[in-house]
Amino acid sequence: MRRIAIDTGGTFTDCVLYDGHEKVLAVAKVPSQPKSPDRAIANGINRLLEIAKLKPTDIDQVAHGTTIATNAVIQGRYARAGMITTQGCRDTLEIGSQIRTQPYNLRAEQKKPLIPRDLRIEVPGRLAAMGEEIEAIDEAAVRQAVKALKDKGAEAVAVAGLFSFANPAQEERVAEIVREVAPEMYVMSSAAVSPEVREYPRFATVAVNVGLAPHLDPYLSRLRGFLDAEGFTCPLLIMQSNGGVATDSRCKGDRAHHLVLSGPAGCVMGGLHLTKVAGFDNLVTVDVGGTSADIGMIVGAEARTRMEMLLSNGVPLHLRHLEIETIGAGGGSIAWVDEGGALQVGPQSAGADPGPACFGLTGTEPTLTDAHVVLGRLNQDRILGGELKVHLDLARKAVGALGEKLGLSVEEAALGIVRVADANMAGAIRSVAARNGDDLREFALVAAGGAGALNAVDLARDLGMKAVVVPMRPGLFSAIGVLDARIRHDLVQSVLMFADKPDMALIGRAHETLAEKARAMLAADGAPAKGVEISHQLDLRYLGQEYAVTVTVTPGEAMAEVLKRFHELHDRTYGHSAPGEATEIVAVRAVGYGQLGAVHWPDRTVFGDGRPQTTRQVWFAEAGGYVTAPVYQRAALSPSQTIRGPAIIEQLDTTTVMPPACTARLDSKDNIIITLEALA
Amino acid sequence: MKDAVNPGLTDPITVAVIGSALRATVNEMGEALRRSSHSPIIREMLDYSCAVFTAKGDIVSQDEFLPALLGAMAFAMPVLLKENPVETIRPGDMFIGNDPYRGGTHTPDIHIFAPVFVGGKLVAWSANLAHHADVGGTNPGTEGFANRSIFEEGIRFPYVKVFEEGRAVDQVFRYIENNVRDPQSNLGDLRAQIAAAKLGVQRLDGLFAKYGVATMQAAMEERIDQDERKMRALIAQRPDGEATASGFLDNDGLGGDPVEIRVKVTVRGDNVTVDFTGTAPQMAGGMNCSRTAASSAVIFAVKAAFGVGTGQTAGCVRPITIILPEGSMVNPRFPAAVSLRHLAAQRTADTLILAFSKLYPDAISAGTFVGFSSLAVECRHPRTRQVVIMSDDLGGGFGGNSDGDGLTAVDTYLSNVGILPAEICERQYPIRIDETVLLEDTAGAGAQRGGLGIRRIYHFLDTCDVVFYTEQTDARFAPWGLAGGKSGKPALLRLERADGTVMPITKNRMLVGKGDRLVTCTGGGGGYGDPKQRDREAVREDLREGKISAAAARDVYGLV
Repeated sequence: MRRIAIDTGGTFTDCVLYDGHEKVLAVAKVPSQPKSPDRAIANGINRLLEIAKLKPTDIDQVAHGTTIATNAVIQGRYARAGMITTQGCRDTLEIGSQIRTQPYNLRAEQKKPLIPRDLRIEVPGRLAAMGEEIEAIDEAAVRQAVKALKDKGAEAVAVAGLFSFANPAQEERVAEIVREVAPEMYVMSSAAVSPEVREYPRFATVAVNVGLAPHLDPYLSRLRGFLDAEGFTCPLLIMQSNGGVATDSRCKGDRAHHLVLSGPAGCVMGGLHLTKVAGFDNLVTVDVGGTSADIGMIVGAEARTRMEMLLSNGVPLHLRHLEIETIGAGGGSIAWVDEGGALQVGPQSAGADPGPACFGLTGTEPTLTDAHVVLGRLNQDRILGGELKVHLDLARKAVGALGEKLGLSVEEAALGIVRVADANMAGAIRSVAARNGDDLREFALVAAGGAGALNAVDLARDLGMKAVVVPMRPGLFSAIGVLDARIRHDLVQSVLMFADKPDMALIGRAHETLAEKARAMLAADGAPAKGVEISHQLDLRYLGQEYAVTVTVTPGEAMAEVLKRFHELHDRTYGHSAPGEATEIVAVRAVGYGQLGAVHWPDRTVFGDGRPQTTRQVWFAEAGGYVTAPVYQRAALSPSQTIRGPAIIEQLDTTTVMPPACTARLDSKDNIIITLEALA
Repeated sequence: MKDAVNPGLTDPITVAVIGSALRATVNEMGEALRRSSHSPIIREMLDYSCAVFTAKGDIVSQDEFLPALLGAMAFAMPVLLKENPVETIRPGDMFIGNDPYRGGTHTPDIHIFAPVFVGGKLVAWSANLAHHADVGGTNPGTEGFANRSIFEEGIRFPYVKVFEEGRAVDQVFRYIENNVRDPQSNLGDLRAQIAAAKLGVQRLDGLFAKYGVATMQAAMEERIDQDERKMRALIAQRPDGEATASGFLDNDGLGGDPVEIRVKVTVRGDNVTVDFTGTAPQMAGGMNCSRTAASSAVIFAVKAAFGVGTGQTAGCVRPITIILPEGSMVNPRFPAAVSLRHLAAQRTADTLILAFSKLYPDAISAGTFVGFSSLAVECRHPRTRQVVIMSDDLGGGFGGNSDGDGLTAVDTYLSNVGILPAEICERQYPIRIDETVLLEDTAGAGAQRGGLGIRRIYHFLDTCDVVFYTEQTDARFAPWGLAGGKSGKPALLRLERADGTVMPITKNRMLVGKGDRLVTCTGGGGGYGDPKQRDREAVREDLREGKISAAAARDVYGLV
C-alpha cells in the first residue's frame, strides 16, 4: 500500500510517501502558502511522485493534517451566518457564560459574537427538561425567518433550541424547512453537532460549525478536485481534532469544526506511534515552534482526549478532541523585565518577522533563541543545515542589555531566560496533568518541532520525568502521526438514569445502535472489517455533579463492576471518591476505529562512526559555567553508541542539548532515547 | 521595602523560576478543586480561590479569577496563628474556618489551611476558599438581606482542625452534616477543597526539597517585594491628587432609607490612601461588609484603576492604606449580619472607581451595573425529591470608556461568576427558564456606550422557598455616565403570580408556587462621552441589532 501524508505547518508543508512495508519512498518539504494551502499540497504531491517515479494511480491513500480551520478560528474568519432559535434563547450565544476573561481590566474590549444579533431570530417552540414538547414549532414563523436571513445575506443557518440534545425533532423540523425554503443555504442544527447538555457550548459549537463549513467544504472539494484531475483514485483522509482521520466527504458539513486541531493533532499522534516503537506507554509530547508550544498527553498508549475546548476568543467548542494545551512559549518569545523588576519571557513573540536578534533581520529584542545561541546550545554560526546565518554578536547584545537591567552577566541573563521559559512550560504541563490526576514521574517527554529538543532534558528533570525521546525525524514527526492515525468516529447518545436503577435494556440498545452506526460508517469509508474496533463507554457522575467521567465498558457488563471502575477513576482523576453516594448515567458513547494500514517505520541501516564532528563551549547551569562539549551529527551516530552529557547532537531540523547527568542512545528505529540520572 | 535581592540566597532568575512554580501550584490546585467539587456554585460559577502563604502568613501566590476574594484569605491567617500557637500545629493538620469576625468574608466562604513542614519546622501554607451553597441559618443559601445578626448566618468555625496529622476529624464532618440543608453538597465540596490543599502541600514539599528552605523563603519574600515595587511604580506614574465620591445602596435590606458609602482617595507619590470616614454606620440588615470583604473591594478597585495586571501577593497591598471606621457598614462590630456583603462590596468598588474617574477620567470607565440581581431557592429535585438549593445571579452592563463600549451582560467588578445554564437549572431544579435575552435601551448612551443588561424569567414549577434580592433598582443610583455620557438603566424585578397579581421585588423572601414567574431585568453600564459624537455606523448597527430603539437613535444619539 503506497500512502502519502501531508502536514501543513506555518512555514513548511511536510510530505511523505510511504510504501506500507517499512520503506519511505520519498520526502518533500515545500513552502506553505497560507492563502491557498492546497497549492502547496499539490506541489508537494507532485514532488513526491517525481522522486519516487510513480503515477497517481499507484497511490492508495492520501492523508492530510490542515491548519486551515485553526487559522480561520484564530483570525475570526467566519462565513456570514444566521441562527434560528426556539423561544427565549435568541441571545444565548451573545450572553455566553457572563464571565469576563480579564477581571481586572475596566476597559476590556467587547468581542463581536459569532453571529450578529440581527441575524439571530427566535421562533415559537419549546421543549421541557426531558425533551417533552411544551410548545410546537411555528412553521410559518420559521419560513419567515429563513427569508429574512436570506435577505440579510446569510450564507448559512444554525438551528438551536433548548433540550434538543434530549429530543432533536424540533431542530430537525426547523432545518428541514430551511432546506425547503433556501436549498442553497448551508444549515446545521445544534443537536446534530453536539447532542449534549448545556445550551451555550452547544449553541456556540453549531455557530462555529456554520461559520467554518462554507469555507472549509470548498477547500476540501478543491483538494479532492486536484487529486481527481491528476488521476488519483484513492481516498483522501483528513486529520480531525480527536486524533483520528476521516474521509474528506465526512469532514465536510457537520464535522467542519472537528478540524480545528487538525494541524497540532499530528504531533500527538506521532507520539502515539512512538508508544508502539519506542516502548513508552505514557508520553508528554511537546511541539515547540517559533511563537508557541503545543503540549499533548498520551496515557496508557492512548492519546488523552476531553470534551470542552476554549477557542482563543473565549468561545467554547463542545466535541471530543485531543487535550492539547498551547502556551505562548516558543523560540521567538521575547524576554523582558516588568515594573517590579521580575524577569518575564513571552507571551509576546518576535516570530519570523522581525525575528530573534541573532538572525540579523530587524529584531533587536532578546528572545529564547538568542539565549540558546549565547549559551552555545544552538550553533553560533549557522543553523538549518547552513541555510540560516546566526549572529552571535547580535544575540549577546540583545541579551546583554536585558542582563544590565537585572545586574547579571550576559550568560547569567541568557540562562535566566532559558530557565524562566522552562518553568513556564513546566507549569503548563503540570496543570494539564493535574486536570486528570496524572503522575508525571511515570511519563517520558517527546521533544518535537524545531526547538523542542533544546530544553527537553531540563524540562523533564524539572517535572521529575525519567526519559526524553527525540523522535527519528522531528521535522516529519507530525506527518508520520497523520500517516499512522486510524479512522475515528465518536458517537454519543444522551441518557439520564440513576446508576443503581439502570435501564439495562435501553443501555444495551444504545450500545448496539451506536456500534452498528459506527460499523456502517467505517465500511462506507472502505476500512477492512478485520481492523475495525469499537470501544464502548458510559458517562457517569455523582448526583449533583455536572462534569461526568467517561468509563470504558463491555456491553452487558454488570453495573456494579462499571461503578467500581467509576469510583476508582474518579479517585484517580480527582483525588477523592464517594462509593456510597448516588450516581447517574448521562451518556452512552461509542468510538469506532478503522485501520487503513499502520506505519512500520524502517529500521535505521546507515550509520556513521559515532565520533563527534567538533566541540564547542556550551554553558551548563549544572557545571556552573562553560564546558567543552562534543558536537555530534545525528547522521553520524553509531548503533551501539551511548553519549553522556554534556553534549550537543545536531541535525538539519533540530538541535538536541544534553546537559550533564544524562545518557543518550539510539533505538533500532533511530529515535534518540535520553535517560536522566540523579544529579550529584 | 527592600531595595535589592538578598544576594547570598537568591538571584532574580531563581526568584522568577520559583515564582512561576508557585503560580503553577495555585493553578494546579484550582484545577483539582473545580473539577472535583459537587455544587454548581464552584464548578460553574468558579466561586473559589487557591493560594500559597509564607510561614508568617503573607500571600505569595493567589489565583485571580474572582476579585472579591483578592487577598481575602490573608485576613484570616493572623487569627488562625493567634488562636493556634505554632507549637500545636503538626504536619498533616488542616484547619477549617469561615467566621467573618475572624478574618473571613461571610459564613458560606469556607477556608481550608494546610501547613507545610520541612524537618519539623513550619515553612509555608497551602490554602483555599470555596463558596458553599448553604451553611445553614435562617435562609436557604444562608445569605439574607434581612438577617439581624451573624447568629442567623449558619455554622461558624473558629479555626479548628478538620484533619489531624493526616487523619480526618470525623466529628467536624458530622457536625457540618447535621447543620446544613444539603449536606451531600457541602461534604463533596469540602472533600474537593481538602484534596486541593493536599496537592498544594505535596507541590510545596517538592519545591522546598529542591531549593532548600532558606532559598525558598528568600525567593518568596522577594516575589512579594517585586509586586510591591511594580504596584508602586504604576501608582507613581499617575499625577498626585485627591478626590471624594459617594455611592448609595437602595436601602439597608429592611426597607430603610438609602445608605451612603463615602470615600476619599489620596494619591501621593507611590502611595494610595482610601478613607471611608463619613460612611454610614453599620446596617440593621445583612448587607454589611466585613472588614475583609471591604478590603478586597479596595484592593480590586486600586489594582483596576492603576492598570495592574496579574499577580496577587501581599506586596500588592502594601502601597495601599485603608481606613475603615469601626462600626461603619464597611467594618461592622460583632454581631452584625454580613452574609450579603457582596452588594455593599460591589457598591464600594463602584464608589472608588467613581472617585478615581475624577482624577483619571480617560484611564478608567463609566459606572457599571452593581445590582447583582440574584435568587436562592430551596426546593425539591424534580426526580429524586431530595431537598436541593438552587442559586443564580445575573450580570449586566459594564461602563463605557474612552476607547470602547462597555461589556454587555457580564458579571462585574468583584464578581466574575457564570450564569446558570437553563438546561442545568431545569434538570436539577423545578424551575424553568422562560427566556434569557438582551434588553434594548438599558445601556447608558455615550460616544462609547455602556454594555447592555439582560432579562431572565424564572418560571416555578413547584412550591419553592425563595430569597430574591437586587440592588440598584433606584434610578438615582443607576450606573453613572462619564465625560458627558448618560447613565444606564437600573435593575427591575417583579414577581408575576399565577393568579395574575404582580408585585415589585427588591429584596424579599417568600414561598412561590407552580406557575409563578420571577422577571429579572438587570441594568446597563454608564456611557462615556457625548452620545451625539458616537460613530454613526455604530449607532446604525445598534439600531439594526435592536440594542437601541428608534426613538433613542433619533433623540439621544441624534441619528437622522
